[in-house]
This record gives sequence, structure tokens and C-alpha cells, in this order.
Amino acid sequence: MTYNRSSFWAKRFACSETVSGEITALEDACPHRKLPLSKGRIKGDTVECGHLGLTFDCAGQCVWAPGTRRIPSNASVCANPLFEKYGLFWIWMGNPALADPNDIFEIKNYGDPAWGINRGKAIELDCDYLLMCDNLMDPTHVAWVHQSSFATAATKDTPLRVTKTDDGVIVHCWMMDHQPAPFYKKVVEFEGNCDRLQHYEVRYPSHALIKAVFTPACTGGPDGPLHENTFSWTAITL
Amino acid sequence: MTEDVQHAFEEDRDVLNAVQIGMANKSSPHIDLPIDSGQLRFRRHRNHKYVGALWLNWTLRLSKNVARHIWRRGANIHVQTTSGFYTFICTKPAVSINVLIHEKDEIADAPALKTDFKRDLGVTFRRFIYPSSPREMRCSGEIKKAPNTDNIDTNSVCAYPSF
Repeated sequence: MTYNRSSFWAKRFACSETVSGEITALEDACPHRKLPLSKGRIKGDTVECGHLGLTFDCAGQCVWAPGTRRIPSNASVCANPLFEKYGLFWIWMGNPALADPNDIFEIKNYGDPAWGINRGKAIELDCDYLLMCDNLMDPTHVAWVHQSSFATAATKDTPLRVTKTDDGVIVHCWMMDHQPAPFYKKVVEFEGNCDRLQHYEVRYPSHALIKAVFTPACTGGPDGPLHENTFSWTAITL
Repeated sequence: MTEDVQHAFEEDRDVLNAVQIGMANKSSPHIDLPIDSGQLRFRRHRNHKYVGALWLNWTLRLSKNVARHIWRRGANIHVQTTSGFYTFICTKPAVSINVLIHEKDEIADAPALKTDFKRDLGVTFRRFIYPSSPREMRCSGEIKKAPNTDNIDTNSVCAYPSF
């Protein structure tokens, strides 16, 4: 069990699993001299600062301090609720009392053995995160940015449909009867042209769900069941 | 497959990093296209959902002692925001509020600073940019109206990020 140092929303957290199996996300700074707690040690269900040994429980409260029997009332670090789902840690940045893991969006078919999983590494962007959200609600950009992989002629000008939901916005379109893009040509299990769904969804504040569906030409579209040779993939971006 | 997707994200990164620079240094207005309607809708609702409501949340992480002090004494509060992590504090009337905003912080252009704060709290922000730190600007104003404190425990004004 080691501390994993992570940075979210310009705030650093030390994440760890305690002996009792609880996963915690504590502010990665001891309130004394701000040494990162990720440089400390886990002792049972507590973490000990590597500087002077101040010890904190899972709630971020100091339970031991050197040289005093009376622990200062302000000796605490922020503790954020943290959940594990889809192989990811989800930290709730708001009022802990309002944290609800059911708010983490559902990914259909996750865990279904008929589906495979690809895990990509994190990519840092030096830009406003909303530009990334824009990008993930913009199926058209693939025609110019991803010419060697996702683009086909149809991605340039197929009309887009915009749907507002309670959780965010979906931009989607079906492109009918065109050649599969180079990236997908390698993975679809049928020959010839395809019908393709681009489903770009971003939920507040920034969780993106991208779906791509490929069916043999003239078997796709928004209505009706999909062909048995349908290839689908779903990507989440956070 | 993973490598191909990774490559695609790197293509996106190159473009978006350059877009960031372009938008941050624009010398003429940018335009929107009909295909941007989804993005604009998302931003509009997102702002309404979060930014406009920020001041209703207790958003600054303070020790309880400090928070109580601020609440009782009405001391000036300096809040630094960083991109993507908004920290404002909601206080009682006549307390001044100072906000330091990085130019990349979207809230620098958000309606909250211009209209929502004025409408809901009576705060008119005055902006000025420090020559020594031109990428940051400071806004300050005074809260004129009492904020809605129905959901706030004033004995523990310990606060949290809004989202």
C-alpha cells in the first residue's frame, strides 16, 4: 500500500487504501509545514507525516501530534470522498455529505465479457478544459484533425443533431453508406461500406462519452435493431 | 487499438493547445459556426448550472476557526482562483470580496463576474491587472445584499469546492 499522488482541479491529493480497505483522498500537505503526505507512511488506517510524524485518520483529522497531548483543533487536512469504478478513482470535490457514487455515469456493457477494454494513459493538455469538452462534442473535427484514422468524406458535412439532456449535451449523427474510416477498417467484421453513428456526449462538468457504431451499409440508422455484425465502441474521457 | 487512439488524442492535444494560445491572445473577435451549437449549449447550461450558483456554496476550504472569525468579524476575504477550481466565499453584507483570477480561468469571462454577482449579491467587481503579473487580474467589490443562507451552517463555515 503506497500513496499515489494525484492532482485534480489544481489541488493535490494523496490517495491510498487503508488496512480496512477504505480508499481515501487526503489533501497532500501536512498542515504543519506542508510536506506532502504522500511522502509519509501508512500505519494501519492512518497516515503518518514523514516530517514530524503528525498522524491523520481517513477523515483527515489529526489523531496524534508530537510534543503535545492536546492536538490543535486546526490540525486537519481536507478529505474528499473517493470511489473506484471502471478502473478509475472518482473524487468528489464538493460537499462530502452530498457525495453519491450513483452519480457516476453508467457505461453500458462495461464488464460484459463480450466486450474488450482498452485503457489509455493520461494526456495533459495546456488549455482550458472546456476546449476539450468542445472537442468532444464536435464530430466534425475528425475530418480535419484525424485524417489518417477516423475521417471519411462523410464526416465533413453530415448534418449534426444536438440533444440537450438533464446531464449534458449529445451531438450525434448517422452517416449512411460510406467507406469505413482507416482506423475502423481494421476492426469491423464485415466487408464493404458501412453505416456509422457518431455519438458525442459530454456531461457536466466534463465527462465525455463517445460511442461509435458501425453496421453494414443500409442496416443502421436511428430506428430499429442493429445488424448482428455491428461493431461498437464506447470511450470515456475525463 | 490503444496506440491508434492515443495518437488521435495527441492530434487533438496539438490542436487544442494551439487553440488555447490563439484564443488567449486574440486581437480580433472569434466567430461561432452552426456546428458549434452543441458546444455553446453545453457551456451556457454549464455556466448556469455551476458558475451562477457558486456564490451560494461555501467554497473556500478554511479551518473552522478561521471561517468563524471571518463570519463574525466580517473580515476582508481574499480568494485565489485557479483555472478549473473556483473558490468564492459567500459572506454577509458589507463584506468585501477580492478575487484573483488567472487569465486562463474561464470565469474571467463568465457572466457571473459581470451580471450574476451584481444581480444576486450587489457586487460590482472592479478589475485591474498587475503589471508585474499580467496574466492575472484582480477583481474586488463589496457585497450589498444578503446572500441566501438557508442551507448554510454558520457555525461551521468550513467550505468546499463547488464542483
